[in-house]
Amino acid sequence: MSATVASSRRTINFRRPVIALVTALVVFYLIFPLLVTIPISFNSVRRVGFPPKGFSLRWYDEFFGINQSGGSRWLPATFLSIKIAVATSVLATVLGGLAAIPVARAQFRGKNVIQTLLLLPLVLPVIVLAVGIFLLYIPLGLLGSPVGIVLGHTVLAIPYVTLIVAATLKNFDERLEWAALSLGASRARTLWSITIPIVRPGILAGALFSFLTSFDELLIALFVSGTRAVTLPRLLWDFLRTEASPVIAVVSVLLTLFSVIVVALIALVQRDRS
Amino acid sequence: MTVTQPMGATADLATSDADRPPRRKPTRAYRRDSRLLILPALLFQLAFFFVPLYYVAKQSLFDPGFTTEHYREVFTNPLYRKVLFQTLRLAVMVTAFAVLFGYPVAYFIAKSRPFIAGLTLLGVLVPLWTSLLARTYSFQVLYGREGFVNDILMRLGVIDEPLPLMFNTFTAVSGMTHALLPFVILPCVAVMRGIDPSLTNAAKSLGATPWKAFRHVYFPLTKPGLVTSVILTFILALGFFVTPVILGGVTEFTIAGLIQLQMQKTLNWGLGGALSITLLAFTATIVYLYQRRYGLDKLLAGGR
Repeated sequence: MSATVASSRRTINFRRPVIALVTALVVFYLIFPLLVTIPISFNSVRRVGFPPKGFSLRWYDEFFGINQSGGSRWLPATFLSIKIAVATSVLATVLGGLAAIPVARAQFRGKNVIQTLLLLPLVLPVIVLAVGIFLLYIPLGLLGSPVGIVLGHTVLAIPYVTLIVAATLKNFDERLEWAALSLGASRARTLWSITIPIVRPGILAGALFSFLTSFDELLIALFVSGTRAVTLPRLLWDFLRTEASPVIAVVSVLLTLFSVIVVALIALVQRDRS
Repeated sequence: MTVTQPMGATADLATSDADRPPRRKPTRAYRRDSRLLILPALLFQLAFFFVPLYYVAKQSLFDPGFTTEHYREVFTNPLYRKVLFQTLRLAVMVTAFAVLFGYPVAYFIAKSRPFIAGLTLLGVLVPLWTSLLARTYSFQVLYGREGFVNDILMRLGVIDEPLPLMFNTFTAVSGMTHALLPFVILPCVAVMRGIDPSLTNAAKSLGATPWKAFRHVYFPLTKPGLVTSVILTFILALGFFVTPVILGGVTEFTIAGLIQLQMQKTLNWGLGGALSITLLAFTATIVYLYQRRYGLDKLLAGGR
């Protein structure tokens, strides 16, 4: 094995520097823009421009509502977004996780069509769904309600959960379930004590994906939130459209930091597994 | 954790049964009944995905009586036709750039030692998992009139006046390519990692030059990943909202931005509905063609 790899390396040697260079440039292009907001977030003046002047934490103070007369506008939006993302994550994990069992295993007529219908929200444009949800919520009276946002976000999150959990289930030895069933466990008991513990990594990954999908979702929030249920992406959008305040840079830095932590945690968990 | 121990024991028991025929009574009952577990999710998607789409279609066709006026407007008004064309052009450009730069990166990741590959992959995953709004803002800081690029160029004496880098095709393409590159890199890595290196070695030992081995053996094997990337990037680019609106401004106005404008500012819901259904129909056609050939789960599984 190692011999084949080594020989294949040697023969394509002349292309390697070029590909490595292209890769380095692309990765630089992917990472660098995330870093330019850091100096702006510490700007001491109300200006988004280079070079930043001085050093101050006043924009961080504005985000956290420290020494602000009206308190923070950002913290309530952040907490609302977290609440909505947790609710979405729970709902989507239960619904999508249960659906993953037949998707991974059962054979029945019309399965392909049903499976496609279930996964479709992932590939069709979210703006169209957002318009539809807006029109549906007018008669339902769900506009301006966090519940309405949760329901909309769950539509987007279910397909992720189903796909991830179904992929985990396909690598699962079904004979473990037969053993439990033949020893007298009920089907619900088998699901709870055998199946769910074994596919737990898939379930957790699905839940995490649902959380992140909801936490960063703008369009449904934009159409549903009104003035009463302002989520973090919605507030960020309003600021991006109207103000050039360095406080946006603070939010960007914090959100980037959050994703670095999430990716690092996943990498650590995966390393521990292998 | 407590379940792990008995679990291992049952696993051993089960493997010793390996030669028994797999179709035993409890299994079949379990399989048949498991169909019902799809119902809650399906009903939920019917209520909050398909019913909303029905509302959009209704809005586009009834105002209040049946009318095709809104669709006529979409396809005949030169302004809207221009937006449709711009959206398509932008999606084609972004897909082309993402594939052009993403494919070599995927190749590098697939061929590198685990440590280097993992590090490079982190460089792809961190931006992917960072808020899209935050990333879009970063590009504003980068390309603005007083932005980083203009500041550097002026310090170096390359230019005397700041360049108008914002609100044009360049910025929109740049920001969207940034956002969609991972959707090319990740599916391609997945496919490339499954390619047996002895195949290209065999070609070379039979006298093929490295380029020929790549062109005739390796490249065709990566086609499924490439097709998935192109389709995924293209349909995501067609419906993209945040980045083109913030970075492209009026010059690169896209259909998603126009829909939001009609729904929330102009309040012409019929036209907004017709534009939505047009975008939906276009995307659905592409997805359908892909689905018939490869299956939708593959598209999505390759997506992340």
